[in-house]
Amino acid sequence: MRKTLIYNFFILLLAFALAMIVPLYFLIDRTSAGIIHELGKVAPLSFEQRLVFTKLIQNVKDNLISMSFYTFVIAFMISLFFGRRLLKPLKELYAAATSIKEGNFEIQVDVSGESELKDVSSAFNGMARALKEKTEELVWKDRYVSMMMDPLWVIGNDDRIIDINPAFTKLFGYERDDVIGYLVYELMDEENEKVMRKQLQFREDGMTSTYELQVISKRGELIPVLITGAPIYNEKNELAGKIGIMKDFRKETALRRALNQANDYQRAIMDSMPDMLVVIDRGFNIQMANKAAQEAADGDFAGMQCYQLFYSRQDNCNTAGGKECPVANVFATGKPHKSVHEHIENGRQVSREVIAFPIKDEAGYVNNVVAIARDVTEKKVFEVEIAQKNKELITLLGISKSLNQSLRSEEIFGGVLEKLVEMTGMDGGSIFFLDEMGRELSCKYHKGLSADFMKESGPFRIGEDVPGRAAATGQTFTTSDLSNDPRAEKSVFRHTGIRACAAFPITGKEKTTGVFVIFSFNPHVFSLEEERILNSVGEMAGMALENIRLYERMRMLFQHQRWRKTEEQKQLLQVASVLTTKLDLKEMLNTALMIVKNTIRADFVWFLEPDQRNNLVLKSAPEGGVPEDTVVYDAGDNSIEGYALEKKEPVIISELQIESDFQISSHLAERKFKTACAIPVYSGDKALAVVSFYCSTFKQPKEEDIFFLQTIASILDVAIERARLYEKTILDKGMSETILESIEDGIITVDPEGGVISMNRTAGELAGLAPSSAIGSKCTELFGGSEENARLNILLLKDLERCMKGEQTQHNITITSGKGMKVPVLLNGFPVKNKDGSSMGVVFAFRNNSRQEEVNRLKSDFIRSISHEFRTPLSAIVGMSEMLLEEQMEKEKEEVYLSTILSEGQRLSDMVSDLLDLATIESGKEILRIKDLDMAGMLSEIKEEFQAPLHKKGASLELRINGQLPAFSGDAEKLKRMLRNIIDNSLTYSNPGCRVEITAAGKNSHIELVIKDNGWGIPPDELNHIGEKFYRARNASNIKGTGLGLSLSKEIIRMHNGKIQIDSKNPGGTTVRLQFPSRRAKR
Amino acid sequence: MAKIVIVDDEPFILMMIEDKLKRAGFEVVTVNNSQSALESIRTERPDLVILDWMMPDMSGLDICRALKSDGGLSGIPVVMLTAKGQEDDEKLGLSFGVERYITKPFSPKALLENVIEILASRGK
Repeated sequence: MRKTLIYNFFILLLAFALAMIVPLYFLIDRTSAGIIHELGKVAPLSFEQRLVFTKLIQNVKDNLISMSFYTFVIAFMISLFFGRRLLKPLKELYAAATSIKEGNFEIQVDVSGESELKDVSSAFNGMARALKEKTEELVWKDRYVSMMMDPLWVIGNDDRIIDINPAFTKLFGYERDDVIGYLVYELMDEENEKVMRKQLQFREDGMTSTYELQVISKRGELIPVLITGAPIYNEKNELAGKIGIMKDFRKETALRRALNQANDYQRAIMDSMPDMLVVIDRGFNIQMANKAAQEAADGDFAGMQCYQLFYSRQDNCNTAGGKECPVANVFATGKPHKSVHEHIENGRQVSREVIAFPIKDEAGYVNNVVAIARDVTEKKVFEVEIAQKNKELITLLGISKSLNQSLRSEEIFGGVLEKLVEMTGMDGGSIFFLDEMGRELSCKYHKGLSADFMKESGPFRIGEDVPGRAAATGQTFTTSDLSNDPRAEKSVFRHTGIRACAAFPITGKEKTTGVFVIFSFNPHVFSLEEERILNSVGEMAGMALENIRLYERMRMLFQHQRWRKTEEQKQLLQVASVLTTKLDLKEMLNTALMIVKNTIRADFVWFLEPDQRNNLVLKSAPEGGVPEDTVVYDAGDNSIEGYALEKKEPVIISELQIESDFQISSHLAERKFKTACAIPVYSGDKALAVVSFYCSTFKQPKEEDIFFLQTIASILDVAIERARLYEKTILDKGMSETILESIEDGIITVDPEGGVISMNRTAGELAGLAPSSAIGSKCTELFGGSEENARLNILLLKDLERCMKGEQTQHNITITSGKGMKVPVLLNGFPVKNKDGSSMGVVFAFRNNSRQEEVNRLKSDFIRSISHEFRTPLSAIVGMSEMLLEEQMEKEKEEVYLSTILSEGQRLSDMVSDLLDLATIESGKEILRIKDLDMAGMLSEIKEEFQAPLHKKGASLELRINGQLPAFSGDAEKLKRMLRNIIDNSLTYSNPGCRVEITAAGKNSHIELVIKDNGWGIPPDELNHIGEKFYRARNASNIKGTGLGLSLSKEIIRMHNGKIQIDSKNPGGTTVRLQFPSRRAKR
Repeated sequence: MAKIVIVDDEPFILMMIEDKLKRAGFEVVTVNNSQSALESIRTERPDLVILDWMMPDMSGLDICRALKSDGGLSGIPVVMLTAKGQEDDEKLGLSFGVERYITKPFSPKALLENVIEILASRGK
């Protein structure tokens, strides 16, 4: 390189020099000749002159040659100088270029000097720098691409894969050679191909987007990935390809699926709720609603506010303070809130319980509220009723306790008043007693008012002020606000600030003995119910007062009665406590009536209820022997009980036989009762029931007995109501749970992956698992350990797939239960569909078919075997008769035919009698003809009988009698038949040449017979069924038989108090072991 | 003269059919156990076989199956005589290539008519 450049310079310069010198030489030559010629013209030149001139020119020419040499040298020198100067930067450039070529971008070329080379060098330096930067960028990119954890692909404009990174290989298993150059669609199914095509179209339009895709890996798995795709442009800004960077989305997909599923389940659960469920935002707008709520909103809840849906109101209930608004409450406090809202809907009072729960974001801020609205109208009515009844009951109990535990009137009434005040929520009250003359009411007890005031107001005259008024009329006086009541204008109580007030008379036997007054400092409207209670308390108190007086008199007269009284009181308390604790109506009635019966010392007590047609139906009668729900009196009957109900008061007939106007129930007529007493039970005006008791002796029931019964009757009244209400509520609640648990089918609910969501009791029993322990495991893991269950599990998987597509499946299969039993089941698979119709789970129902299947098989087996067994002898009878009739037969043949017809007819008739025998034995009508028997002799006889069939089969029968057999008695014919059957079975179900052994031996006080064969044996799973009527083992289906023989034998053995045990190996033979107790026939 | 083999384990049925067919002029061979049935058929080479279905050891169906799978014997028409009277039994029987299916009890005359018909259709 170096040389070439210098030579080139040198030659160039040389050529230049020559180009200058040669023409100069010729020019001089020519010019000199011209000059001589011109000079000659002017004056002819002398020779000398010419010679000098020529010499001079020659000299010039000679000098020119030396000058040429000089030029030569100079040219060489110059070329050497310039060549060297040019060469140095060139060399540097060369070195630098080589260095760059070798990958070293650090080189810089010296740019000193002034020539254009400087520009070249600096341009080169610039290029090198740019190249360095670009390369570095490329290196980094490359490094980044291969280091990237996220897989990527680059797709060319022809949709073929251009590049992938190692992460792609790692995720999908494809090496570069596996995919590069292939269409990207080859890595996905049709559905994903659609997505991919659409996405690639986006890139064509210059768009970047993120999407999900499922790519088929080299192992054939579908791997979900999240792809961010972008177009790649070349420097000309043309689309060069598309890059997709992926995120392994398997976990996310599973998570999302789980979430979706959870959502779907939640949705389904929400929709299955009969209560409205909505999600409400802070503007009280409904964001989401379950089916019930959607239905209530006529399908469209968009733009609806919660109060419109729940309470049918147009204005926000929260504006009025919002204390009761559960939603506002939850937003304010962040805690669940429950309230009951009452409003009028479609003209009906509706109570709606609204339970609201917060939905909080991560920061704990309540964004939404879930509200469940439940119609509790009915429940509320119940609750109110129950609460009311309970309150009543407790008060009445308290009152009756006070009335019966104490005999001091002030104590009693003080207690009663306090309870009354408490029960009605009043602020106070007072009791006035009427004096002996019946003119003035004086206060005996008061609460809530000052003693001074009571003293000052003094006694009230009859008709005066509120208490006097109640005493005069004998009616309850109530006012919701005394200060506004014109009836009480002059009342002294007005000054005390009393507003609500009730005064009710204490009435004994049609006589008012005092007045109760209760009051409140707030207005209060007394309900009818309350008035009723107050009235009855007044009546009870009056009775008690009389009772006390009576009792005191009685105590004076009959000291010994004291014991009985206490006993009675104890009994009453017992009734009361029974009534409060017992909710079972029947038990409660029974207990209460027993106590009544014992207390009254009656011989018979019963409790009757009128039905809808007014017949009197027995509900309870302890020790009466009459079944419940028997109609004891028709509506038209003139019974004591009916009369008492009609009169609404106790009826006592003390001389039943004489006063025969009343009809006596046929259940009681024989018992000739002399005294009867019927006490009606009323709830308001409604006749609830009647309690009546009967005595065998003439008896005048005492008033306290009647009172006692009435008290019990009134307590029973509320108790019955209460018990019925409870019963209904409990029934409703337990219903749905009970249904699932009580289903006889095994139910397993699974999610789309086959995970068990729930399992009922029956399914648990079938699988031998506790239902709770199965939850979460795969449905294919519940049953195992046998070939059947392996098949079941494959089937479950297939069914799961089919059901998830919305199909229903059904199979008749056999499974092995948890207890190892083979159970034929009808397996039904139903998809659980969510709203969009797709399946969100599957319910598998296992119906145990074993009974049904066995019964069916037995039935058809029976028909087959019976018809077959009948057909063979019938063939002889029908066929041979036809032959006899149609053909001319020889005498001898005729006889053979006739005797065959006879014997086959006999066989047919035997079979029929076999069937009949079995039927008779089973119905228990068969009687044994017991005689003393020689077992050994009998066995020998049977052996003889079998000689012909044994010979035919080439079989042998061996009989062994071990020692002396104990004495035995039985029905010889039946026993022989039984033995024949068993031996016949051995011969029938075996190959020719088989061997049968019979061994008889005495064992303790038993005879043991063992019949052993080496026949086909019985399949182990059928062993349990052998001996069932018409049952025939599967391996015997081609053999004639009715399936009756062993059943008949079993019956005969049973009749002889014997035992049979069958052991069998299939193949290997059967051993039948019989045991009979030794015995003697009675003489 | 056409030759017929009858296989049945009930002697009186054998006797009855033998009598009927012999009277009609057929040559008859009776076999009273299923085990030697196939052997007899092979040696006798009959024109028709009458088989009982239900027999100990080997059922008529098994014998029929063996016949139909034996190249030399598969052409012999089989009349199945059986006490299995149910429809699905008959279907099963016919699926084995049985020519006629006659249920017990049967009329010997009808059996004979069937035999003549089958043989006539085969030109014998």
